[in-house]
Amino acid sequence: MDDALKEAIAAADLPACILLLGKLKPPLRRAVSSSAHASCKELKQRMASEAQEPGKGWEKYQARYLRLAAQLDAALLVAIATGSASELTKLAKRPLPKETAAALATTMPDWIGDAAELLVSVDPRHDHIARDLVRRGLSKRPTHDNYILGLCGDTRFGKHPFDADPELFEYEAWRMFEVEGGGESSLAARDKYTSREKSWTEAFLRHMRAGNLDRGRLIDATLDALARDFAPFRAGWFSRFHGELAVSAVEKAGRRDRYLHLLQSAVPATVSMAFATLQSIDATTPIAAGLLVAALHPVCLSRHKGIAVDAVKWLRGIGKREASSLTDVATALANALAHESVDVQKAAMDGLQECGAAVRTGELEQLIGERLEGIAPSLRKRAVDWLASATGAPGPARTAKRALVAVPAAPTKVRSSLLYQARAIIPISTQDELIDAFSSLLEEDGDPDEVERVFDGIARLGAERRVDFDARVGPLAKRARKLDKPHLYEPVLLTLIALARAWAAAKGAARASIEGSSLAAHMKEGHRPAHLPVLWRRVVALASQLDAGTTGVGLLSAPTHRGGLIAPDALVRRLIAHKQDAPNATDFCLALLRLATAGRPAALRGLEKINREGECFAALTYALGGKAKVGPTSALWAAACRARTPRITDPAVEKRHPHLGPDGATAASFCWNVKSRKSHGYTFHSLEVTVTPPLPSGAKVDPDLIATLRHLEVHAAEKSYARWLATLWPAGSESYFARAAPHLELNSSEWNDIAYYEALCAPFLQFGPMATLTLAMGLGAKEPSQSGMSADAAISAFDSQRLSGKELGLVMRDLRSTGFIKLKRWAAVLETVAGASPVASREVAIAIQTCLRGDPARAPRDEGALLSLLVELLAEHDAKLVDGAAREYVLGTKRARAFRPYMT
Amino acid sequence: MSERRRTDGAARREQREEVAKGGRGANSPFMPATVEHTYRYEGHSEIVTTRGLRALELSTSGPHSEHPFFFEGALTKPRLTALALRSLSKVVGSRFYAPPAMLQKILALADPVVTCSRGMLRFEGFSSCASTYVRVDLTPEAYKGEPRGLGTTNVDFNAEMRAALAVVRDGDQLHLSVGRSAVVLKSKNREVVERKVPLPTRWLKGFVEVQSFLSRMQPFCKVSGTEAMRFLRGLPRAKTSKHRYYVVSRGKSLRTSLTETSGVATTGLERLRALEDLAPLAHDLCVYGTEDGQASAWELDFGALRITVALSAEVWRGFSGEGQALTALARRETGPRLLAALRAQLAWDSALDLEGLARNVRAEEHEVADALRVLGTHGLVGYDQHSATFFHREMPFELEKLELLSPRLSAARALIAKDAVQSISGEEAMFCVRSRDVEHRVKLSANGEPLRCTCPWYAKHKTMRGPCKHMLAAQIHWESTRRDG
Repeated sequence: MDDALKEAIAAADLPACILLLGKLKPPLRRAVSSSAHASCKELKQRMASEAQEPGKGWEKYQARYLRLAAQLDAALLVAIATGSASELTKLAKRPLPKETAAALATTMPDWIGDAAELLVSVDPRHDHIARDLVRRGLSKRPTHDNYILGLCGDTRFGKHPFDADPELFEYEAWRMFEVEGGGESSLAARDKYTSREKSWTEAFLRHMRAGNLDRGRLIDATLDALARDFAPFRAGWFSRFHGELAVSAVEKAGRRDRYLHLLQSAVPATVSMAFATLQSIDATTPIAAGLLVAALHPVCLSRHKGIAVDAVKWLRGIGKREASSLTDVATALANALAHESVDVQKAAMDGLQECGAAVRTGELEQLIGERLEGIAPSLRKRAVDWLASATGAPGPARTAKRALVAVPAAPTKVRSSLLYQARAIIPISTQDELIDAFSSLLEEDGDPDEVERVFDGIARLGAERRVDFDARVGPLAKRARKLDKPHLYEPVLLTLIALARAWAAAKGAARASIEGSSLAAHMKEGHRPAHLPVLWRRVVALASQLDAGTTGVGLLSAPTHRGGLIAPDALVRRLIAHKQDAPNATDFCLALLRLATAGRPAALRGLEKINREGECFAALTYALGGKAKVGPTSALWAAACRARTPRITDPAVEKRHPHLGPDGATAASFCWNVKSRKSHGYTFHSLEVTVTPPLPSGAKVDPDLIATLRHLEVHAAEKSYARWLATLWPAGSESYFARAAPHLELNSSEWNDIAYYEALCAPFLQFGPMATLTLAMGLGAKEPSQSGMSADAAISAFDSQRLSGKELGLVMRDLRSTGFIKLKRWAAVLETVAGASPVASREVAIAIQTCLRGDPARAPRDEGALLSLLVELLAEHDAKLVDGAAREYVLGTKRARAFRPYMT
Repeated sequence: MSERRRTDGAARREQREEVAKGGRGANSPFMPATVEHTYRYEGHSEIVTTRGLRALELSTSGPHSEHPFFFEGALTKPRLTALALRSLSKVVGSRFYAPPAMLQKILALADPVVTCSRGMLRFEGFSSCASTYVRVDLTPEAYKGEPRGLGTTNVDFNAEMRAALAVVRDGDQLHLSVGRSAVVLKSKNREVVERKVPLPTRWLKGFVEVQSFLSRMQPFCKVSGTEAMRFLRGLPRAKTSKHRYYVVSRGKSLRTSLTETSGVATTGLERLRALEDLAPLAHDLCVYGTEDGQASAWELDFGALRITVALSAEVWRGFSGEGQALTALARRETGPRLLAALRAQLAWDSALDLEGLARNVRAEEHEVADALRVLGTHGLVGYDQHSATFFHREMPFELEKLELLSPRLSAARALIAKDAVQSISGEEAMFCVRSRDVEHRVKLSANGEPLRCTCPWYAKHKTMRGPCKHMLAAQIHWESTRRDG
């Protein structure tokens, strides 16, 4: 590079650079290009180092930085003008000076014809340079969308591009109707956050009025854009703009066929606009029935029921207007019966009956016959009657409506046997199996039963040391070391990592290895999950067992069935076989809490037969429902009495061990209420659950009081931990849900919440008030996985008679009026539940009836869908509404008429 | 969880560094991230009207001849075909999952491909994120006309053409041509449209490997078009990529569940939205699924034509790297001969007769099926789950640029080359595979099928994504030991 050019770059003198480039002979350009590239690189580095060290004076720094930026612009200009096309695409990744086109015009590289296309394909912000090149006649006009998207920029500040550059009206302005864009770069996105006077809409209209843009062409361009089926949000701008154009009746009539085509659009707003326009055209100049019926046919199945209902109504009008079109109209109406909305089906059924007997054909009857099963129960009888009257066969006999009879809750014995619906857990039998299971746990979101299975496997098989032990556990140990990071905050995974490292440690060094683990570090923290000490104590016990070389002694607390349940006879056997004098307290307390309800009497008989002494045997006897003298260890007896009667206070244990807190000797009880708070015109709802007896804030609880500990638990942020918590006391799920419910997010996606809804699906879960409340909340959750999981739980609970519609309805009644739940969501999810089985359908009907209470004048606004669902469910069961309060309520609503057939 | 993700990211970084050190040669177990592909069309595809007759003229590009001309004829179901092609185009232009660091600018990387075979016209496409495969099958009932040639080619699907397809109605007469005759080309004097796109390797591999999944699928249930429409419309509008859903049959309809594992498993149900507009016109919807829940296929049947959308197990995972044919690939002793013999038998049949092929190449039917799966991974055959047959088509991409063998298989061969595999004496079919500073223990079944390994990859995926590199190495070792007697 010659000195003059270097000086021009150093002086950031772009015109001088262009002048010097013009004087540069083509053979020298290559050399100049490499020097310019080197300058660019150097300047970029200097700018980066300046940015890292702004220095003391901001203004000086800013001046230095701006100077470097200007020099870089000059260097870029020279590099591009002397470089190749591939170099251009690399350099164009950053903003280029506006003089780039002039520089290229000076050097005229052989790729200049494609320069505009290349520039915009790299970055849409180069659109102005590309335009400059095109207008100079140097480059072909780019076909890339970015050429237009670059223009479609932010118009809130500065002069609008249309006002600044009238040449845009020749091509670019029209091309804006052909490019959809995305993200922020679209007309819809730009205008959404721009004031009216600065918007693109206003700019187009202003220049149309000024005569710069042809009105007729604008109308056509808008219709062309709508025919392209852009995404609904972006297509919305064009339909709104079309409205802004205030198209006259004559203009509309002239474009009739185009509007007819738009009825087939996949965008509801476009169909709606075309529909309204065609109606106005038809009002002045009737459109041929054949054309309209063919165009409206697909609209009757539109996803948006409002448009579909309007289309059906219009078809009915066409049928009345032109009798010759009745057959086609009837076929379209029969097709509309496939629509999922009852309102559309009702309008279609009304239309079919209006068509009269003249339209009846075998084909039509077949069509309606095919759709019969999908027709809403409240209309099915009409369709059957219509078909029967066609064939002359008598319709179905009308039977008197009956009351919906709720299925009684299953007796306790049946409920208890549900333990055996849970799958049995097969203990790990070999070390290889243990390594496999352990390795999988480290990679997955720990299944709590699998975690316990591995704990048990370590207890029984961990101390076996074969010759190749180190090689066998080597990969597991390596993985554990890799995952063990100080900032890892996942209690179950932390525990597993600590245990894996302890297992793989040298003989006798297991306990010491745990002390150096991340789990140990977290144990020292003040704010830790309430049950972390439980995990810690268990790992310490296991490590001690490894160090002692004890084999064949499994955990008492290892679940025998999924969900954390232990079959009572299995626990009796384990305790009898236990080799140590006294079992580990944490392990035994946990084992007691995990006792399943089924099979307790038989297990108790077995225990009483062997007549062993000791506090543990007494506690187990007590937990199984037998008689025993309450011993001195408070945690043990608290666990025993919670296992014995999970929801009832135990006076005997209370007397010996008072003030243990909720779910110690005293069973916790809960009550809830919804609080509302208004802020900036919005109402925020929050759920509050209070527990009795209360746990003093800052109270310290013995980690072996596992049931009480739950009341200290913070909302579990990790799914694996939340799942594991549910298995600590399966029969005490009320405290689990009480702790979770206030934190469940119903209106946004909180991914870890799913763990709590999963717990609702446990086949042995006894639905208490808190579990039912959580279920009712889940049924109204916005996130599909959460509402879907709740729907599954409701179906399973109804079908297995663990929950009745009445019980759910009572909770729904209390929630309904609070505004906490969106009733439309309830209706949608309950419809899914009802569709799963006849039992679920009946229970949902009862639940809805039970929740309809209060003053109809103050009914929630979105209650209509719930009432419609009730009508359909009553029709499906051919039942009447017998609930007096619900009858009174619905008669006061606008939907009273729909309920009349179900009142008698 | 976040920590685990971070460490996975670190592993990927290590892998990248290894690529940088080891280069990208044929011996490297790693492949280039993208392969440059050039589409060269003789103008844009468009709908043209000549003397009142509308015709959909699809421009073609490659592979063997510059602009192949395969078909010309009239469509008997113009609106349906137009809607199906629009849906296909919608999937091809979609990115159902964008990795956080990736910009949306790589949308719509590749055009669909069309195969003109004996008795079937098939359009195939693949979403940009490589998680959704779509195919439109036109049976002879859907068109009137004879193929002008047999083969597979890329076709240009541009925005203008898509817009024109939107307004096609059943009453319209619509002709279709795949490519243009030399005479027409000459008369129209069109300018060649050239577009270079970097096709990601995982996209290319996914496109060809999806056939392995389709061939393992079993029909799960069939519902009417009306029920299909209601099911598709009832799907959540929000993204459902975080949780696994099971589609279960409920009488004559379908519903989704998160717990009933008996159904067809999938995530990212929003990918099925491509079928929503078509469902009201369909006779029925048939759902297929693999036993292990790794993929599902959704086929709308209109009689004369069908559209199939195949979904990978997770939106972010795609079909690539699944290693479904790795075991077959690993067994090389009979492979090359059989593959060559089979390849010679392919003659653009829309349904390959397994029995006949087995007879012709003197092999067992299961061997032929395995070999066809391998040919599938080479882009030479596709699978039609409707007729449960393979069909011949040759992907018009320069697949030879890829190291076609899986990186896992290459890594396994590298382990063999380093003599890192040893049988463990005293334990049947048990192997010790040394990998860096750790020894993995691999267990094979008596007939050499992979059973277990102690590596983290196996711990995470088991054999659902095919065997790990250690298992493959052990299999190769086992095969060679057996062969050597």
